[in-house]
Amino acid sequence: MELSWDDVRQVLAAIDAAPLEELELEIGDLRLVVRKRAPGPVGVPDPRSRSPVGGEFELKAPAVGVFRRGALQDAILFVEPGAVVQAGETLALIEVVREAHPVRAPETVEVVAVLVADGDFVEYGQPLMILRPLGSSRP
Amino acid sequence: MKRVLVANRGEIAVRVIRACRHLGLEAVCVYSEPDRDSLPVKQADRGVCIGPAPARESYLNASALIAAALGVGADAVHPGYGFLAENAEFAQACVEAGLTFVGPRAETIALMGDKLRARELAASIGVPVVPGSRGALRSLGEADEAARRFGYPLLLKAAAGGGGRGMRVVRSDRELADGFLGARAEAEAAFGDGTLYAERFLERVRHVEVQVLADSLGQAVGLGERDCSVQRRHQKLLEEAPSPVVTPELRRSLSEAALALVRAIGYENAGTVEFVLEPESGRFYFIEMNTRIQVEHPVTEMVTGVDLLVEQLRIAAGAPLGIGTDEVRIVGHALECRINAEAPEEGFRPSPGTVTEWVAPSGEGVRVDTHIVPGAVVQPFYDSLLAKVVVSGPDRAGAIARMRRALHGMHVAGVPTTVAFHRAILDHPDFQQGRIHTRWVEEELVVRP
Repeated sequence: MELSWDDVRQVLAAIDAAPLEELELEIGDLRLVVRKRAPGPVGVPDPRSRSPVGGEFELKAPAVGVFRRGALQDAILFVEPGAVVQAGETLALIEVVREAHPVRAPETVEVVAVLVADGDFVEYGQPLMILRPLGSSRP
Repeated sequence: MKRVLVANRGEIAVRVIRACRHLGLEAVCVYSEPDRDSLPVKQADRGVCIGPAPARESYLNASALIAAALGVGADAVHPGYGFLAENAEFAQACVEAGLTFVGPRAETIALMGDKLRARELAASIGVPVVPGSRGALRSLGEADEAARRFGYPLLLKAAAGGGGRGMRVVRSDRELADGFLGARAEAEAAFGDGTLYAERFLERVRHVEVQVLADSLGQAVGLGERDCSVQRRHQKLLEEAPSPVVTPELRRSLSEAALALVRAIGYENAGTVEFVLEPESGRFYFIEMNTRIQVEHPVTEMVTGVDLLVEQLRIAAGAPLGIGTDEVRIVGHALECRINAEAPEEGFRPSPGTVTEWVAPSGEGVRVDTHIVPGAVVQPFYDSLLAKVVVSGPDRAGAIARMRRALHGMHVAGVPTTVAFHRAILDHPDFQQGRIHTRWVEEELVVRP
């Protein structure tokens, strides 16, 4: 089977638009294997599963590990309920085999509740905090 | 050992959990988000979500698995097969985290994972290997030299290989450059290592493998062979024990060769030493050792009565082997059909979806290892194995008759399956007379478009 570069480009564009991770295509003696790389940071669940009330949402664990409310050495607590946290700031850490993964605020928020105690084991996707978005007009 | 983390999914996770139960061990099963409602998660004492659907972020994520094991207070990790089962770094990371890895030592996994080193080691202790290059082929020129020396057809193989990837059969000078560059690119992509070596490609051979068990006290035992010659593109479809072409003398020789290798490397836990066998001459050649439990392990269990998963856990816990060499008896004959969610008429296209109806075979001498229940979802992210239908009979003909009956009693709706293809194999006179080889399915059964 003859395949031109234009054909390849068209196939790749179609694969790009499709919701799949991996594709193996066999037509006659032609074999095409495509593996997509996920865009952006991998493995982070969508934290914006908002509850119907007041736009509050649960912040979910981006990894399986030990929940740390403060830095590992100096044990400084990052946040308490009522705290206002800017987008991108660290809310807590997940310790995955001696490596600390920061859990950051996806937008500027007020911490409504912390659902997990310091040192608790958390699963991937487990709710960690309830956050209330403050919008861009508030500090 | 009290609590085992099952670091896998699907039917093998169910199988590991069953062995844990047998020994009174707690089983904690990991899962990715789409596997939340899967059977092993329901059967385990606890499930732990370790990541999203893509395997590299869940079942292949070593840190997540170890964090999960430590988090639930597990003291051992069973890797099953596939995923990280033959990953030496993962085995080492488990040990460094204070966890028992249910399998051989990390350095053994690394040694046997390098197919070229494994081959050289086997040759050095007198285990026959397929005639081939002594070292790696660093250039097309060296591949050409190998072709002069060993002749065509020549098999180019990836040193880091397995599962038929990074492998090319070259039949003439004209095909050599394409084959060499193609195999190297494929090996590079699949294993991150494009090292190749060459072997004489043997035609009309059977794939025969010896199951071994070895404990931490240095005792090792062979549990006879499995014949896995029914393959399509190096993927096994149907396996049996014992092999229809292996005589008692040959069985002894195969077992001695496998155990020589096991002793030479101080192997520990369950493993499989694979050979190709020329049925007419009875000559066999080592191809590789798999340092894990295999998909097709049940056929050995059916004819020996040894629970290999239970033995794996016992060995990992430091216990001596529960069976000695003189106690291994091969009784009757066993067959296994791998039932996949694939459409054989469409080139065995994997076909994920929801299994709406599921009636598994049952009855005397029938065993079904599966994670499927009605309503189960076959995920597109992972392999398409639905179930392993295993039967035993007093002899080979009896086992074949029982498998035909078992497959007739199987009813699946919602996804296509390979059941009809397995029936065609069982009904074929070549298979019934045991006159097949590793290319038989492709040459006789698969109609090319």
